[in-house]
Amino acid sequence: MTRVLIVDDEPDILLMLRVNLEADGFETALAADGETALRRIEEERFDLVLLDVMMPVMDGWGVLQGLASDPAAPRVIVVSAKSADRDVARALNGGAADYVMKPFSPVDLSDLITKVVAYTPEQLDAHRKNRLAKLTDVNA
Amino acid sequence: MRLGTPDLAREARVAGLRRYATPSLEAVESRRAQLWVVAFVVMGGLAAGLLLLTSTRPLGGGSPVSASALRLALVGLSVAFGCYVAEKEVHLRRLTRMLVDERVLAAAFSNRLDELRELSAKETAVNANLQLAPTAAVVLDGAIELLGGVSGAIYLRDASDGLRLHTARGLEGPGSGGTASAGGLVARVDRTGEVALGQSDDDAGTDAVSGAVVAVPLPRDGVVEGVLLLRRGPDGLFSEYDARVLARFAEHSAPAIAHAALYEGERRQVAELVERDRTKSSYVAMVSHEIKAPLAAIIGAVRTLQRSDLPPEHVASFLEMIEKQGERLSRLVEDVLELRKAEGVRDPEVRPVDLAGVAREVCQLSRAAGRPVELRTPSTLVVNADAEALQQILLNLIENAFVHGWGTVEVEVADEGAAVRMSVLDRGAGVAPEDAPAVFAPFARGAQTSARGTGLGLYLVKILAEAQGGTVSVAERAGGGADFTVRLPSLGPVTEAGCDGFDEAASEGRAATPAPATVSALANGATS
Repeated sequence: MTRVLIVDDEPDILLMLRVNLEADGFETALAADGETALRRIEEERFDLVLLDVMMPVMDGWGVLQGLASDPAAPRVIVVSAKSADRDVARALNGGAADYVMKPFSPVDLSDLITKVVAYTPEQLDAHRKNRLAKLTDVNA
Repeated sequence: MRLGTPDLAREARVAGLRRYATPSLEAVESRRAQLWVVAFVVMGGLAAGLLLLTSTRPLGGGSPVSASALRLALVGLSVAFGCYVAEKEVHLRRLTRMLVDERVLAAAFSNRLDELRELSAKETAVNANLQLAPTAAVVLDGAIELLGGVSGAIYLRDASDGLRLHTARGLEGPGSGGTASAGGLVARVDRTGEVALGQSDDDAGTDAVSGAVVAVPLPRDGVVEGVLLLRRGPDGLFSEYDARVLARFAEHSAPAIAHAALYEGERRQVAELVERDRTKSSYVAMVSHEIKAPLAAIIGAVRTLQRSDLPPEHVASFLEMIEKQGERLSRLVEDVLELRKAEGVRDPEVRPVDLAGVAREVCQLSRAAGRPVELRTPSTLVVNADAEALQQILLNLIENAFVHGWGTVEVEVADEGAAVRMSVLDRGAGVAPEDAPAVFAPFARGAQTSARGTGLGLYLVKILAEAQGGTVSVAERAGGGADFTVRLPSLGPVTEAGCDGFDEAASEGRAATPAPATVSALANGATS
């Protein structure tokens, strides 16, 4: 079963994502800040991380940085209300597989998770490049 | 130089230097040497002749008449030749004097030319700059180099119309602080618009013709916009000529300084506008992010509710989520609107308000809403403020205390003399001193994010307090917790009759400001 770590400082978002993902057959774990997320990733095995950016203690950028040096790290989909192309580019260049803007559709998110987890490393790179190419205004 | 030429030519002709229109000093000297050699030879010949005549007389025994005539002729010849030589010598001397004068004159002109060349080079350097500080530095360094000063200073007119030290070189001790205001010689130049020489900076200056310190005006359209001051060591004094040169240099440098000041002002304004635009953009980005967060929860919850496979026990919690996040969204929009209103106020409607009364009202409201608040206040305390803003400030501070603190919230209103203080104290985690400025920034919520706060409450308090000429600060409370304090400018004791009380306040010897002045001061405070 695919294990997903949901990282968000908003309890309602955590709950909403957990209910949806579990209904779609994923196994979920929660973290409310970046530090907790990194600790859980280190201790447990996850196939994918849904990562918010604006969080207390350690933000999403810090988590991406912490995972960058770990080749066995789970794939990351950033889920954020930040909608600037600059932020999207930063996430993708920082190692994220994709970037989903809030508000989002939980069903679409489940499809995306399934796709990203199934990708071979080459497919993932292609997917990321494709996503970056669609950005119009990247002045990061 | 031109005046001397005909005289020179004539003298040269008379002195036997026909080949020259203006002979060189060396030619004159060689001519004189020639003259004296000839004079010696001729005089020697004549003397020898005379001697010969005297000694041969007894031997020859010739005609005594012819011998004495010959002697007479020889003496006459000597006298005539002596006169000729003396006349030539006089002319040669005059020629020498004229030529020396000419050389001195030429040297002086060449010095003057060098000086002008240097001056124009300095002026070019001065005009090559557009920023005030480098321009003033170039002017000052140029002046010091030009006149060989040991130190110097430039005073410029500031916003308050006084002359203030702007740039200093080689200056030690008081006055190099950058804010020293001008006195003595500088003040004299400012008053008279004339060059002034003195023995020291503080020398109010008589009409001295030389001095160790010289100050000249930096004029602009006939108005003294600044003063350039130079000092020399005790051994070298500035002459009146030096002062004139410096004045000319200052006159040419003044427009460059004025332009630089103007340019700098414009640049500062542009930078301010850019910064304001940047702040606005980042504010919009923050607001949109804050709006999206509850929207994401609401839309996500609705989509979840639409699922056919949703376990029924979740329906209630998702409905509650939608309601809660909807309310949060609505509070946020309200705060944003409130903020826009507060920021838009350039001229707040201030009038004497009883702060103690406002505090009592707000605390009653708060208690009615189930939030116990303890209030300590004098019976009345009148301030010049907008009553609605005061209410909002207190409400937000109390709300903040309940969100981030625990226990009873205490509100304190007190007269501090120069200011009126209202403090809201809680027993929460408090605010670390290094975080103090950040808590008043928009959307700067504490580490424990609460869905209830919008992140705009304290920012709104700051905007409202500052719009009324007040300040807001946060300190750590003794025994733990936060102490949020708003200070508003005091009005002095006023009777309940309102404005009628001002005269009474003044007669009591208190520092009471008349109402119109206070209001305009507040208005200025709000726009700056």
